[in-house]
Amino acid sequence: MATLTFYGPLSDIMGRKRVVEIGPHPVSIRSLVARLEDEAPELRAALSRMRVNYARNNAMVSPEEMASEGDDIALLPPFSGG
Amino acid sequence: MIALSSSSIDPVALGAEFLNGLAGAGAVATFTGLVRPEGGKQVEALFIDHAAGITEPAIEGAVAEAKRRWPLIAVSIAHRIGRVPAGEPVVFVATAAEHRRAAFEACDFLMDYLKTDAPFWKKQISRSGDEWIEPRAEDYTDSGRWR
Repeated sequence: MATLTFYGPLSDIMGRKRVVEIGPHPVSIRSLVARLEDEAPELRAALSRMRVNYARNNAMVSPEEMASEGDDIALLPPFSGG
Repeated sequence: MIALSSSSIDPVALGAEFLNGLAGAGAVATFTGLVRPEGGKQVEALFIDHAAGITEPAIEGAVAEAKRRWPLIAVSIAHRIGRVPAGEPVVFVATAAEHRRAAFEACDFLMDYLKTDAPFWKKQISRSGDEWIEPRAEDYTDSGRWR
């Protein structure tokens, strides 16, 4: 299992965290998210509207990064602070 | 110092504390950002989301970049997280250097970073509804000055 953590506007749509199965074979973050989009069309709609960055265990990564058992994958919408 | 605070920040106290610890500085620049009530929208508060384990290291990286670019003696950043009522301070930045140009520019650079490139997300809470807000075009233009 891996945990997907959602921030900003994505957390309003998906809640803060979702636990997902990795399965027996290595899977990219992009694929994990695509699987979740199939279950949650509202996530697909949100991701089509915004460019999201990804982090794996607090390190910024590309969506092609492979996810492992126990990973925390963060979905980070465009930043706005100050 | 970099502090993310879920309770009120006091720019006067933070500024005094910053001045106290300085040696060799001839110039200190500070900036305080407040939650604007936004008149027509009657903004009651901002909610500021952040990513524990990601946001602070990212800001530390920006501070390190500022120290590479300018001869800084000290830097202090305090940023609210969670609910911040209209009118309250949301961010404080202080920079110290021997001379004013470095202090001014580093403070400006760090504020531009916090506005557009720091892992925060802001939701405006108002009577007409809640809305996640993004940087203005001017914020991106400002950040572009440093690239």
